[in-house]
Amino acid sequence: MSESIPSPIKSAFVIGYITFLGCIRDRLLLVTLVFTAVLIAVSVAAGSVSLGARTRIITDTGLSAASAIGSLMAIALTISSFSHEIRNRTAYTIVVRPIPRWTYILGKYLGLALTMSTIISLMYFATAGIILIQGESLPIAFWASIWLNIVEILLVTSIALFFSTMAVPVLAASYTGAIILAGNLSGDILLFARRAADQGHENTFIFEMFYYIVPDLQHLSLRTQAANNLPVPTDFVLHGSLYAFAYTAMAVIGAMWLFSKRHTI
Amino acid sequence: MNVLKLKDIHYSVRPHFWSKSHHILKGVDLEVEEGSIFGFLGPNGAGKTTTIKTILGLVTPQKGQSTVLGGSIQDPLIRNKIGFTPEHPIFPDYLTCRELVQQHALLAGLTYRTARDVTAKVIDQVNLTHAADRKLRDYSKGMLQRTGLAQAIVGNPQFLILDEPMGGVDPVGRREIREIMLALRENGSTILFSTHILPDIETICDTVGILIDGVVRRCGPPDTLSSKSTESVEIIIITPSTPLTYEDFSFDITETPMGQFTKVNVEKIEYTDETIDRLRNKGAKIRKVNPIRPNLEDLFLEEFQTNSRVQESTNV
Repeated sequence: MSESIPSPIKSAFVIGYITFLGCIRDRLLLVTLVFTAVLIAVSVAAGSVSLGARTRIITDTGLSAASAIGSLMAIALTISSFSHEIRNRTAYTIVVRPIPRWTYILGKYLGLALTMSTIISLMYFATAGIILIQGESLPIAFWASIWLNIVEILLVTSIALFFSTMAVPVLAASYTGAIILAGNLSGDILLFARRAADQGHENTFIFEMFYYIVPDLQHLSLRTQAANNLPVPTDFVLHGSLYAFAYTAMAVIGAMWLFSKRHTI
Repeated sequence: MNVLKLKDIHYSVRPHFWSKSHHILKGVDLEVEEGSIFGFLGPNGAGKTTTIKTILGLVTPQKGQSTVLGGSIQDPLIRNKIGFTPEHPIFPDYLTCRELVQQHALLAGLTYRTARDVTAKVIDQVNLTHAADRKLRDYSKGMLQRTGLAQAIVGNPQFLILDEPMGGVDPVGRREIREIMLALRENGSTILFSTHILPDIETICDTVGILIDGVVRRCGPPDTLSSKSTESVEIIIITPSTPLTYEDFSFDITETPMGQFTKVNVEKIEYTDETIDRLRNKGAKIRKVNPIRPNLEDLFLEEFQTNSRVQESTNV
């Protein structure tokens, strides 16, 4: 018989480590290689057509690609990793261990978060490498942009995990995709709601409420500052990070609660 | 002491909210004694896996009581004494056997150092030391089943639950798994395993439960189950030059010529002595007496056919 009941947090780290190991051995290298290859091709092409704006184009392309590919990967990786383990029954061997069920979700999240952070960092390092190889210097907002991009991807991962615990993979992917899309348009939604209210339209509070429900991803991007070599607004980074962490925590806790309450795994 | 006690377990699912409930378990009663190997037998779709999931708390039954190791499966202390391997496990193939087993050792509450040592020991126990650092994607089906067994026994559990541990494994692999199970019982573990491979059950089980259509139809030691049915005897004699007559027998006798020998079937074992005496008096030379006991396959098929007939009559 075992020595003692394991601590849930320690168990979550064990599950997280295995999840990270799986993701990294499965996909990370390939994605990073493809991303780097695409970036090199774009930078070479950009260098030949844009005199003087090379750094700006490479930064903008690199950062936008990292954000878009990162979001797509976070959704795909989270949903496939979770649903595979349930379908293949390997999750059963973990949840029957003497740990609370939510530990499994927390562990999965930690592993996926570490994986996605590594992927995003590698993509940024590839972008930085290409800029430096071309003899240019990195924009001021470059490193702050990495940070916010990682924070954004951690949020996307948490939403994908939340929907994975309550829906089949196709629906989970659709819900997450829709939320992320709405999150990228959140500023426009608020603007639309307020303009409609100013013009005397009724029930605009629905849109305003919608704005507060979906994650405001527009406040998690410094791509414009990085591409145009503008200074980093510290408050923007701080507020954006706190907001994203709070949202992420709610989504992960929601997923943990839903998974604990499931009658059937 | 009973390691497991299930009482009147009912479980049904409703695939869609507009469809009718599909009853999977219709009142399962089961008891598993400490230190025994319990074979859970049933055709595909009988509810074996669902029963196991109920025991493990992976599904919540609508009705019934389940006691595992004297407590509730929701208690982590109880779960810490249980090992489980699912049916046809597909473990993450990017991991090595050592990594997988070590993960489970840590999740079973062992410290890192102990987990490392125990992992090596358990891998050796299932004869996978030679391949411990190979990725699971390179493993054969039998090796994967043994990996499943290794992760299940890593915390030295009191109660092992194995869902189809020999499914899809060749005879050599099956024998290896059987030997591991017997060794575990010797070390004091109680084992419940589901299967539909009858020889496995007959070879190693102390108790057998036959589950058909969500109900345990028969339960008990394989020998006891067999003796519940009629036992007959066949007497092999050298075929006589003049055919024997059996009119003077007060019970049914059938005769099957087999060339040089003739098989005489006696309907009940208690008529054996009388039959032998009478055959000898008629000049028959007896070569062999075989008690005919229905094997597990006969019992299983009998139960299965009875259930099918009941269902047909209900439908009509």
